[in-house]
Amino acid sequence: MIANYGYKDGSGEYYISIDTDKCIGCAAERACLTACPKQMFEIITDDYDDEVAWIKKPNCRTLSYDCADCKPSGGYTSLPCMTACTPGAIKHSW
Amino acid sequence: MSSAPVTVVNVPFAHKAITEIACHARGANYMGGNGVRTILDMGGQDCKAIHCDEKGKVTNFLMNDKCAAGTGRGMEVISDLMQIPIAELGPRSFDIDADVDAVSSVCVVFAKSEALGLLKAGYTKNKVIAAYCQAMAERVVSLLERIGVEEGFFITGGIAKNPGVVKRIEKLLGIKAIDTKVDSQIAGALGAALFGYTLMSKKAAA
Repeated sequence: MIANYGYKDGSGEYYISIDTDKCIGCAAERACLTACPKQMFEIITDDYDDEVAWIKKPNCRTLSYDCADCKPSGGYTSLPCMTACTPGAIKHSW
Repeated sequence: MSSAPVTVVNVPFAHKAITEIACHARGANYMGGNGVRTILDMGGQDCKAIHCDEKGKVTNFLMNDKCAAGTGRGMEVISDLMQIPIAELGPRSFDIDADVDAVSSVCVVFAKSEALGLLKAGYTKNKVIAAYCQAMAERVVSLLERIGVEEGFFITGGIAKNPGVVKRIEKLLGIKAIDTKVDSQIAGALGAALFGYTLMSKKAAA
């Protein structure tokens, strides 16, 4: 399942997509939990009883601000969450 | 006054929470058949684009619950502004001479402001309603296009009862939504009941 968390507003589309098929039985030992400086990721049991990562609810509505420090303008050349997720389950839309 | 006897029922899965997304997919699968693949839920306070498989299991989803654009709340704002019952907005949006451009599809506050401007400029109420229905259709179509649209299109939620929005979505997508005799507004509740039924059946069989 592709789970898209985020929103679209007047300034653009801000979604973090998590491919839960790659997330189940994480080969990176849940590295996303510690890689995100804002600790936005959390492990939950989804509707189909799989343990997967998701974005915490309050962050879903403020992604463009929460992720800003990890973007090139914040000095990063690659996103910490995507780098830590070696199975490649995490993607940013912007 | 005598009260009716109370029957206490033990619901073993009462603590379990299932997301609205999964419930709407399951409900749409039941109502529209196992050919349903793309679901658009236009609820009162949020809007969801969902892909599911032949069993109604979610394979891709996207939700907008940050703003009122593309939700029933936005339609209520226009209904109040026009002083027209919400159930009449859809049919009245077709009672115009020619198609009109959409108002802002990004924000309901902007859309309301634009609608007021159009009324002052001499637009009829029906033309303004048509402009808002078009804006709402464009907004939700942009959500759907983000996850991709497949044949087997089903709409749930209260706005599914508004032909002014539904017909415009169908026109923009180039596909027709699956008709159902069941009230589209109960899709989520129906899906939740089906999840409960499955859990209860498993419990009984164990």
